[in-house]
Amino acid sequence: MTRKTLIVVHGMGQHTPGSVGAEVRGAFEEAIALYPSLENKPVDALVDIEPVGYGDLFESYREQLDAQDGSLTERITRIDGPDIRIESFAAELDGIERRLGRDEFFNTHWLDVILYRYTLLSELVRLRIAEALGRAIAEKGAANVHVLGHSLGTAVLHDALQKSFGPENLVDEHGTNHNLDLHAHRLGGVHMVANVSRTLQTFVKVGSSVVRPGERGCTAVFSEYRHRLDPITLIRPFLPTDNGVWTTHEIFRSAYRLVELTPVIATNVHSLSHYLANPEVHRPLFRLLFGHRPPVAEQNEATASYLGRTVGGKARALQQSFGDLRADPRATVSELLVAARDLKNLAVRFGEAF
Amino acid sequence: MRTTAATAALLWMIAALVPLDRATAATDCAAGSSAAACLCSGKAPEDATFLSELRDQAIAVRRALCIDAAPEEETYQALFDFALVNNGRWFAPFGGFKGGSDPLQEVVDAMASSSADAPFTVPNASLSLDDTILVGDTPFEAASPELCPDPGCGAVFDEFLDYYNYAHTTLAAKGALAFASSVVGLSAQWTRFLERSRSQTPLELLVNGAVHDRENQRLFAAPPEKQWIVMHPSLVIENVSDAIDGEETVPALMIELVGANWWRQSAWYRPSGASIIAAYSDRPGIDDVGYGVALHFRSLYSIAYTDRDGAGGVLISFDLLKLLQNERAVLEQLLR
Repeated sequence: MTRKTLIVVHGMGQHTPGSVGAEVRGAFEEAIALYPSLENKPVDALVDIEPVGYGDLFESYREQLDAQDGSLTERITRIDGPDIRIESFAAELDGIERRLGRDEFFNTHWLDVILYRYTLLSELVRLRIAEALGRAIAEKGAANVHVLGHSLGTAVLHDALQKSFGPENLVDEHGTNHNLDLHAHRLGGVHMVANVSRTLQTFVKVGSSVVRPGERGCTAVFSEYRHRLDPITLIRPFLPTDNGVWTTHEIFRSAYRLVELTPVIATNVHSLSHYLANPEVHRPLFRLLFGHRPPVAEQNEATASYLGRTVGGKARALQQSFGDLRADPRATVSELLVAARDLKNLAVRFGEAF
Repeated sequence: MRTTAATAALLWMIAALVPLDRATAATDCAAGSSAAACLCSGKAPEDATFLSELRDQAIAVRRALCIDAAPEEETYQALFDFALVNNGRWFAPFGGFKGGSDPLQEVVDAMASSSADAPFTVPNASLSLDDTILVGDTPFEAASPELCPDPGCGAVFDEFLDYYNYAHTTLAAKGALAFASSVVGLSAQWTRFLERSRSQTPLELLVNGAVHDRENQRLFAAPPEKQWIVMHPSLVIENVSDAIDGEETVPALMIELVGANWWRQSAWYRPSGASIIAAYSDRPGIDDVGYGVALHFRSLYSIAYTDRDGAGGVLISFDLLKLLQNERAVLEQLLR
């Protein structure tokens, strides 16, 4: 069986392709160990994991701001000598930039969302994903290419797919259209982990985009994974319905899944590795990616082993903090950012990274 | 399009006699590569457990591109033959599909109504979440799963999909490479834009982002030709000849209130942009704040004129000053 490619688009926070690849490989290795039929095969022998990073673009902009801010403030201070009027004026003027230059949650998480959602940098981010997509499809065939977005990465991935499949938005000077084709280049699967693409939707509504399964979509299979105690996923969730509009009834039933999870094995239920550790997430992925169909008894044992890792105390804390939150279709980007901050604070209280 | 049993037999024989090299070299699927460069040093599909004939015929399709160097229409014909010959046959030993159809029938229908001029309309095939084969909007479910080696026939379907998509990619790779090439070209333009355009504050990034989005919406667009400048602070050196002796030339804070810059303009003698500015400096005897106009060159260097209640001032940016002499030396000299 041809080794399939899994393109991974990371979420907010400080990530590199290397760190994302390591996180996915690590989570897959742990999951593989649950199934004796996989004989502890190395991940790279089963699937090609291709992380696509964009954090460096945001990071270099942050550094540029920091450098400019430092140098500007220093110079301005020297204009006036002991007179502080101009210094305070300058401080007010570039207060935002000053804030962006520091290593705070604002910088490492919120700013990613803002820079992607509202600025010019987003197009280059989408182009990076599109390039990886084009290369992988050419080499393996689109049916052997799966894409996985996590958190902010779901919005990035959604937008990149929408633009990649056009139609007719990539026309060269000779009038030739170079978009990917919905039939010939339909992906094997789109997997949205902690999907926020609807909260951050921009140029097209998520419900009417090509990112859907079936004849009018760019993917054969569309899966969403959401944890009931992950507050970030409660902000304007994407909830397609089986009414023959988004896709046909047959396709909805055979090619779309919303998997809602509840077990907690760490406070940061939003992390990609927390999602991938759950058998309800990795099992369908493993089947699609490398045809793994473990016997029922083995599945049950793996699930029991996974559930043995659940932590009641952390689950209770999450339940107290976010259990009463309900999916809000009118919530905005700022509410998403607040939810991320609250979850981060809780994770830090338990000594976890976010 | 028509094929004959003889053609099919010939394809099968070629596949059997001259298998593609199993040893792999690195594939060259970078943007700008040809389909042959991308695919022909790649792996042949793994050996078959259930569908060995299908595998050989898939290799024959790839061979049309890689060994025969056949024109595109012949590769197209080879894929059509693959679908036609195997349609209704490959899964028959396992009881066929519900309704008596076959995923390859969808392929044959699509190709029969298509043309070699538009080969990318040939659909690929994938596995669904419940182990059926998906082509377009149609799921194909085994009629007699008990005849398959595993429940649901997933293992046989995996093998079919592997071979069909191997053959299909022979045609579809060309379009994907053209796509990749286009986006790489656009990426390079954006990288140049970020390197060469005037530095942008967060506010400017937001403003320029909003303008660009409004103009381009769903396009995969090139970077803007023009960037807006809004409330952009920078430090300059200002000379006001009417100032008292010793205070004529001092550092000043320049705020570009609004302006525009054409970042591709790189001729040093032609302005790349202009801004309406306010400048602040602290001198005895004249207004601290003046207003004027700045011109930018090569998106980096600025020269401006200000008026401070009748007293004219000339400003140049530190970047421009750096062209002339060492900035630190100038600062030390001025602030001594």
